[in-house]
Amino acid sequence: MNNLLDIHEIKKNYITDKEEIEAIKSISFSVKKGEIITLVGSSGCGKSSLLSIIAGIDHATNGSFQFHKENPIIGYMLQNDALFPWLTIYQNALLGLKIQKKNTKENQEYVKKLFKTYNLEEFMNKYPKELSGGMKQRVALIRTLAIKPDILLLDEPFSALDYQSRLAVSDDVFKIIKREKITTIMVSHDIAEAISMSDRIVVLSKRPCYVKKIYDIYLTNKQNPIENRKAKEFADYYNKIWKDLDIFV
Amino acid sequence: MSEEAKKIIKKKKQKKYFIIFAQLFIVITFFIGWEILAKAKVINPFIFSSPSRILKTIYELILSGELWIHIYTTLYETILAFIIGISCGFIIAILLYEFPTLAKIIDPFLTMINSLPKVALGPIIIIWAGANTNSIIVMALLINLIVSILNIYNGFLGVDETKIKLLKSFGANKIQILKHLIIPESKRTIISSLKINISMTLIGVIMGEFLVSKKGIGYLIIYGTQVFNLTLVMAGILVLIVLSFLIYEVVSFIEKKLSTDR
Ligand SMILES: Nc1ncnc2c1ncn2[C@@H]1O[C@H](COP(=O)(O)OP(=O)(O)O)[C@@H](O)[C@H]1O
Ligand SMILES: [Mg+2]
Repeated sequence: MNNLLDIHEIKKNYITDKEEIEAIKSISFSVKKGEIITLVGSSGCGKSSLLSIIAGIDHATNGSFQFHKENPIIGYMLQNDALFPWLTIYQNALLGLKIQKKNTKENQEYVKKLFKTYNLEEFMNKYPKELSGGMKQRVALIRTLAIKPDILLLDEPFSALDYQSRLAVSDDVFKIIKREKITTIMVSHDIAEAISMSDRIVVLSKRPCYVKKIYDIYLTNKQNPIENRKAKEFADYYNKIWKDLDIFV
Repeated sequence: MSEEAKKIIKKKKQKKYFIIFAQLFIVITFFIGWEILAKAKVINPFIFSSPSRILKTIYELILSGELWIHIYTTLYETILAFIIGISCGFIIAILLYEFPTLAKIIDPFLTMINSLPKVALGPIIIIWAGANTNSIIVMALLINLIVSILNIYNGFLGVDETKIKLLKSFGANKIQILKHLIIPESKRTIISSLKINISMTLIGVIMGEFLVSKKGIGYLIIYGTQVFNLTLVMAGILVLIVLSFLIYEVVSFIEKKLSTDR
């Protein structure tokens, strides 16, 4: 069995002062070790809710999930880079290690190595506001990688970027994830992005969401996200998923 | 730089000088006019005093050494109340933030106290805290504390939800979230509330000195009124204007210093 995570009939209802909102009807799927799996679904359907639950920030109303690893370390990346403006880039990157009391010499060296590998070394002592949006997102990724996560949860990590940087940064992030061989669950509302980056795509229904379909993405000559968009199967997947999402504009 | 740009910059500079000149002109005209009207007895110098009399009184206060005692007293009370107000405000804001139910419970009371003219509580404060410096500090705290609490608390609430989520995903506990995020993030809010806070504190201290005191600029003013020495009253007010201006400038300076270190 090479599954890292099994998600079993997770259900989520939010209870506000006035009403009960059913966000997730029931979601089950498995995540294989090393794959990038992307959740697509209309906005407000419950994608972020699911990631919060897996990240341990929120509780499911019902159902369960199970990691096939003891004490899995979870790396969570959100829409905005959430860098702390009063810390240098390097200090920002150490934040998770500090919280988890793992800020050792060895780990610091590892973080420095990450900066070097991803060409951000010269910015280590700068402050977030001195960096471009794309760079900040890469720093956010390094901060997440610093804790050596077993699984990466990416919640629309590029949605705050303009289209050009979005392509470039998603390409970068993809390469980093693949090189570090980290299992990833990503959320995206961009079908093209999802196809170009994923090994599998989980299509969710509208709120309250359930799994509508799961696609294994086979692209001939699969390489990096930008090139993948040129694959001949690309349009076919795109059209199918577009239909599944049942988007009206 | 182009000729055009140089011209515009020069114009802007000239405008700046003009504004300063106009301000000085207003002040000087005001005092000279006041002096002349008082000398010519157009206004009653007994009630309205005159700049020369006020300066003479201040000079005498300096010679006798009395002025420094009053300034020192007011300054001391202000700084003390300011520090207590900011510290207590900070701690209470943390409690409110950590215990939202507590915040909800006391919310209407805070609003009520905040909108109450605090001077109405003066007589009670004197009885409870005694006719001494304590009452003055309490009076100042009544005025600056609520403002501090609300300011800092709102700063806490304004902290980016994403960052909290991020720390939680690292497994951070409440204290770590406070230490690594909430407090540093609201450092800016606290700093930016220093100025309003010091003004509030000074108001409270002077009000307190009006009610009970044997020293301080508020005392000087109220004493002058009691013996109907209007020159002394105005001397006190003038000293207060200068003092509050200086305090404000110092706090602005501190604010600048603190905010540059990100
Ligand atoms: N804390 C909350 N309280 C109440 N309702 C919530 C809360 N968080 C999310 N929701 C609701 O749950 C639904 C799903 O939200 P979310 O998971 O953020 O959607 P998505 O990420 O797919 O856009 C939305 O209708 C949203 O309004
Ligand atoms: Mg979302």
